Amino acid sequence: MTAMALSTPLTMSRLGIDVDTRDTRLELVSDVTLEVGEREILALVGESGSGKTLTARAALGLFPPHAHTSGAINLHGTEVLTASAAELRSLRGKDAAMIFQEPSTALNPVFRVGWQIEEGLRAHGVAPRAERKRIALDMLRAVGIPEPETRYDYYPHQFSGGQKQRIVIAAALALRPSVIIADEPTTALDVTVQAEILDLLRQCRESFGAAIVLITHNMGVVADLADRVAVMYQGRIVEQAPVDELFATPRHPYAQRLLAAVPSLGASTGSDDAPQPPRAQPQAASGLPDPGGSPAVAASGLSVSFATGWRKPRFAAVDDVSFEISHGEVLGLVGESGSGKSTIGRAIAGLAPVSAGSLVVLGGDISRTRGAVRRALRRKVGYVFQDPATSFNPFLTVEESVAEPLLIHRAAPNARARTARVLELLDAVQLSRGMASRRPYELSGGQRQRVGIARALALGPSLLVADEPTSALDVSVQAKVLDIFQELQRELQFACLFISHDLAVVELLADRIAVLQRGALVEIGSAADVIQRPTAAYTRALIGAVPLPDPVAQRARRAAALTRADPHPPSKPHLI
Amino acid sequence: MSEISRVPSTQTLALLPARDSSYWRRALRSRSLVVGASWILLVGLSALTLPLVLQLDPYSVAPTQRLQGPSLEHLAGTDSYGRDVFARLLSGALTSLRVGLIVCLVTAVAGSIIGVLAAFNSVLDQILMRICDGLMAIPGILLAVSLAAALGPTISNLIIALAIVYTPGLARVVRSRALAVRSDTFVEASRVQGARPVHIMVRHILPNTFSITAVQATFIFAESVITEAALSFLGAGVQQPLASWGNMLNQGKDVIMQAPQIVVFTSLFLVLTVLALNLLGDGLRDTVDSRGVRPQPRRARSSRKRPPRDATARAIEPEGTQL
Repeated sequence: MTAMALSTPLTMSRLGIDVDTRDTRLELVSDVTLEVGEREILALVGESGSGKTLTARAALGLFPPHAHTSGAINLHGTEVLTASAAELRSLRGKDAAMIFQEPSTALNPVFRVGWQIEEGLRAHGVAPRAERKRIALDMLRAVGIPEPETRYDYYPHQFSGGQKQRIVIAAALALRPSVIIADEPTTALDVTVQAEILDLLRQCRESFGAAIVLITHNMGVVADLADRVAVMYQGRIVEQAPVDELFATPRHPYAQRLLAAVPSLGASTGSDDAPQPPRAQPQAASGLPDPGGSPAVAASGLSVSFATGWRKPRFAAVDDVSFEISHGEVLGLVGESGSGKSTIGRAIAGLAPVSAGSLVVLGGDISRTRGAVRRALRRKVGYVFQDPATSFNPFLTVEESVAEPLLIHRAAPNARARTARVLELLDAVQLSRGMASRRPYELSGGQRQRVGIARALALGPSLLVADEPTSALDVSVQAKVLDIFQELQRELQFACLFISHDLAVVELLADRIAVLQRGALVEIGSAADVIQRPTAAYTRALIGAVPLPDPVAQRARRAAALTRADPHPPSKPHLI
Repeated sequence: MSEISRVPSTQTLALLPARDSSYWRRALRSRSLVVGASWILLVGLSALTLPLVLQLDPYSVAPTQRLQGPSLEHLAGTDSYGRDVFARLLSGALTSLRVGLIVCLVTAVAGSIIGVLAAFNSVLDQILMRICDGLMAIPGILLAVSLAAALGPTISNLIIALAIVYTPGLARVVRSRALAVRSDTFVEASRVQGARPVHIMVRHILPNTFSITAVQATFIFAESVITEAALSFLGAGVQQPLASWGNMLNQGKDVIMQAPQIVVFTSLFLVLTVLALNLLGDGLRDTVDSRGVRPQPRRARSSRKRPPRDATARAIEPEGTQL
């Protein structure tokens, strides 16, 4: 609000950040020059490790330990790189504020949220208590928290994830900063909540006049919110352009690849039906005997509930769900976090107890069998886990990890046959054979997830459960993993339950899609039907909330949604 | 090694040394680990070789040469029987290190087995942990003294007493680590593949508890050396004429006015050895625990991901290059 003379609140010129490690000096960011104009939303995109977070944090004078900087950053007339600690303190929060990725860790669980919003005000010497409280309440109201007077005294755990992110935004806005740095503000949130937070950020700009530096890897979010985009790759900005221009004609090859890798909702059924061959005759393609006629998975009235405590009602994670997966079919399972989609996958693999109904997997009931029968059943079910970082024993090499199922089921006559099979599997997931002797932490996330697929396929399963296999990966890496997955599925014809929160990914892979909401099945049908002609209101809301990775289309849709009255009336913020 | 390298480049990553050697180098960079290990090795090797080389005999009595001061012939003087104190120091070192090493090995093996088993079966867990609680309530010295009184003061009884006292503590530590590892996804992955519990325990859980066991066992080593000395000092441990730092101190205290060097040298050896063992344990912990004070060049970008175990430069993922 001060220093009106400056039209550009934030400029960086030839910024470089080097970090000393034990052996060498790494150049993490180099030669970054960018400007953020007043009321402008600049999106910094790039994959993990490209330096986008480092660059944005540098605006606040936040650097990793053992960092060396070069160049210049001018924030509202202050030279950040040469500023003293006291100058930096007065600048943080007041001239520029930060919104973090994970709202549940950005708030301190032992303090009331009102106190936490006021923290910045206290640090910047807003003295009267009443004044601080007034501002905090205004902010809570502005970000759309209902009944701010009561909620002021709540603790973070009493809010949902989306509300917590609103509170983090309220705390960031409290001092009316001219620049807000939003570091993946919606990555940890569900799509419907994400849409609300994006609306809120837009209003931050419109009502508070804040410029926003938006760090994200989601091109849909970029298309929805940004005015200008800077693409970062290997620590450099490779392309900077207005959002329409970038999406229409990306110039740098990396930007082109990045945009090409984004799965777009409704794309695969719209234009190109041809590359998706009908997969109706998959019988006996895999080497395993298929019990004639019966589906790979048949769930009827399936319920999974967990004890919540002594003499407390059980929590029903999955409630009366019925579906079938035929042999060779891919069923996509979508829903928001907490909808019970992972629980269904775990129940199929026998990791979660079935409390009611029946679940027949490959002709056997995995939850009610024991010992050898259960092991025989598990031999035919593969499982790909969500987080590639923790799903491998750090003490085992890639080869040992992939060979483990072979070892457990004594499926290979000797060590040489095991090695041969492992190499064959690594070829199948397009990893070089040299990887066999590496350990999991020496691989990248995408490579690790491919090892995960190789392990799941080691015994030639007739059913594969893939639990959000790509949600921890970058877009471009995700595209590669999905490609491999699709190819293998077509080749090996295993039935698959593909769990994801990303509708576009599911649409790409699945023959049929099932939508879950709070443990109940809302809709099930062919992929095209569910995406193009959803019948359930929840499915429509879910599809409507996904931002299209195309700024023009997204803008049109937003305009249409506005004229059609807001679909989320309670979340509509009342700005002061 | 100090050239500037571009970040997400597969070439750079491929050129980095393999982890095994970096483990070694990390260990060698830890000053406390190197200092501690060197002292223990020095004492152990001298105790094994010097008596042969210098023709030292800790038991040869020379009544004419009682309580002499340090000289070229007797480096640390002689005791009240005229025995060479330096020879007895080395012999005592052998006793201490032997007791400490055996106790620490027995404890490590027994504690790991108990801890991993307890983490795996809730019924067994209750039984084993209650037994451990009971044993932890017994003071170590008291148990050793009573064993010595009942079965006779021999080195093996001493080892048994110390192992009984120290195993429960280690078992508890291993159990908590095993419980944490058990909830990791790779254990679940193994279970989904149909692995039997024994397979999971041996192949997945046990190796992941090694690091914590090694650190804990080193500290038990140090404590055993102290406790052995204390018991021998009290007469419930190693008996004369066998040499132990404890019984040498006991003997030296009677003649502290005439020959203070006996107590001084023995205490010095005892203190330095225990200090070295503790340094070794500290260094080991820093080496094993990757969340140490080492610089981490990369910021965590996703809270769902754990930082990689080995967060050196190799952790920077070259995802962009595989498009």
